[in-house]
Amino acid sequence: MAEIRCPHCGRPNPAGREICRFCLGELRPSPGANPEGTSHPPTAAPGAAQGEGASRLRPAEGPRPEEEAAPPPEGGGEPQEGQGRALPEWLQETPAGRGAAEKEPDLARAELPEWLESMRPVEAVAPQPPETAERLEIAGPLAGLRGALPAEPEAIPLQKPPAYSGKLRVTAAQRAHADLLKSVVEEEGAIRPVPRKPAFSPRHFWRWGVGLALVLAILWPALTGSQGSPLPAFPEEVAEANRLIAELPAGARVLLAFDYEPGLSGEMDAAASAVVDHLMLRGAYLALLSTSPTGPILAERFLSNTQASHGYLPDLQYANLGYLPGGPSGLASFAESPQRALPQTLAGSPAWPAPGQPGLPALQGVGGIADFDLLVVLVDDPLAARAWIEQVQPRLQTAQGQTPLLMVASAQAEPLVRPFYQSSPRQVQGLVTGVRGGAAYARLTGRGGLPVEYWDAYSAGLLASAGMLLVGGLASAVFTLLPGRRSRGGEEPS
Amino acid sequence: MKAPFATALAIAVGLIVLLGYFVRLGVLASLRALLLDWAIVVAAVALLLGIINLAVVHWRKMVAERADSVYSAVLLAALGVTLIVVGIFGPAHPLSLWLFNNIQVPVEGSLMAILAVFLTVSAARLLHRRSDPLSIMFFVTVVVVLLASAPLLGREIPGLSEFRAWIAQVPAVGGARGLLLGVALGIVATGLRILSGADRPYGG
Repeated sequence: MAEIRCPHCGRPNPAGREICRFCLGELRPSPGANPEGTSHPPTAAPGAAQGEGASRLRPAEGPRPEEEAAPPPEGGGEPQEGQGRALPEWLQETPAGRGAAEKEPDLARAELPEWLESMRPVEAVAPQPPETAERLEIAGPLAGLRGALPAEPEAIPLQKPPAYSGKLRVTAAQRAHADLLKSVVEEEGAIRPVPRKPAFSPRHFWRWGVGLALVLAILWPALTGSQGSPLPAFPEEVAEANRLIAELPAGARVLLAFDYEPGLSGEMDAAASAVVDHLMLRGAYLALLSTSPTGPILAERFLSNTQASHGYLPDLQYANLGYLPGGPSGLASFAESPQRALPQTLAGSPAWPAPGQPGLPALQGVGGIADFDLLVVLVDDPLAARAWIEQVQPRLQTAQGQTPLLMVASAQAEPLVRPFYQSSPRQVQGLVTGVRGGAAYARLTGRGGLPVEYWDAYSAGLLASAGMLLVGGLASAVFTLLPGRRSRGGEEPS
Repeated sequence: MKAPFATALAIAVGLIVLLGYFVRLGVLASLRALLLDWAIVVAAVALLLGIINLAVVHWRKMVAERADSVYSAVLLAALGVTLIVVGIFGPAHPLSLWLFNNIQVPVEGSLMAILAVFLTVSAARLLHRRSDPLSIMFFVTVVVVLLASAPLLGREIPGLSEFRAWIAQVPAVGGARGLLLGVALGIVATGLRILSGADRPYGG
């Protein structure tokens, strides 16, 4: 459909209209206007933005300042639009040309009727806001507002949606990478046969050799019946432990804790054997307990295997109070009130003296934990040793004095227990560590027993271990320093 | 905060037990002793629940007839036999001791023996794996301590036992003291966080 654009607002109007349906401006091309005004709205000329219609309504004034300031075109060139250009002679002779060329200075301001005044184009009467990028609404109920969303159909570009191909367009390199990733993923899920390892590699030979050498070294003293290794000298902490037990009164009540696991019973039995033997020699009554579930039965095993010669009877010379659960909390509760924490023996009989029952001999006269004459803790775990020292040891101090705490620890727990022995004042008054400590204690008491039986085999095993370490270490060092091997940077030998 | 009641309860119990160490007040001491007794009971019940859970897990494994079902069956059989024997005769009965001496002690002792072999092999290969100064120092210390822990062919090497004692009493104790101090500071910090509610390991 043919249309004509308004020379004032630039909006399209149907062909044949004389008045713009948007701004009510005249659609007829004015004299001197661009003859192609139907397709190009007049723009860019000062004063021309308001259109011819508005210029006709402008009050009669002198020439506009910009018109006066505009210099005349030089060189006979084409005058710029909007400037006072000289009309050709043939055009000046026409009435329109004369009217355009000769301004009527005394043109009176037109008086518009009220109904027409209200229909004037909005931009002609609206104050000009500062230039912004927002669009000015010129029609409809939102006329005069800036920034309103356009509602005209032409504001919504209607176009056919683009058609996208469902086929993935990839380059050859991308395709190659995708194929590689797919093959990697598929290989992960595939079942691959495990490569068969050689039955006897050098590593296997080395392990079996070390194991056999250790076994032979340990068995050698038993096979030959030799007892040639001297017992070790007793260090200060072992002598302190011996002195504490030696000073116990007759019929002393001793609390003996079995806090180690069956796996370390070989070492712990040897370490504690001489100490408990000394206690029984002194005729001490023993109260046994453990914070490990296997501890109570380990205690029974220990007494029956290593101290059977003393003939201690349960519930007479010793009372097995059983398992104390709760870890450090259980120890704190036991230190607070032993009767409430462990009221019965392992066999289920009442352990403590109470109104109407005498209680077991091992617990006679014991009201609190400080009433014991000595505490002996057999422990293989540094954390368990620390729990005993932290939760129980402070409760051993009373106004009458302090009940000593003696520890028999495994060699692995020694570094963390020794600081408590070396502190001032001592939190652990005596310390026996490992088979070496047990053997030293046996040397002090002059009696045999498990540590003495173990000592030769223990010495041979340690010597074999140290020898293999030296040989292996030197071989590894030489192997590493070889020029050809060194360049591999620690690569595994085959 | 998901569980304000649990948080308040935990903080209150912690404060009561902590104050019981510093304030000699009869009511506070009784309350603290009661709470510690409850802790023992709860720990014992937790152990029981652990045993039940272990049995259930291995029962399911055995029923599933997997390749390793036989191990679960052995475990359940050992658990059942031990429960029956100890339950009927008591833990100090010779039959109970026989089970303990001939099953549990040898099994755990064998594991420690294997550990000794593997530690020896690993220590011998240490210098091949890493030959930096720290590894060499560690290796030399191990060898010296081993040699000094027992007489060599029936004879004591002069000075070796003293050197071992110095290692055990000076550098080792120094490191252990530092470790203990670090543990103590960590425990204090953790206790303060729990008492202030900043740390809620009970899920509140």
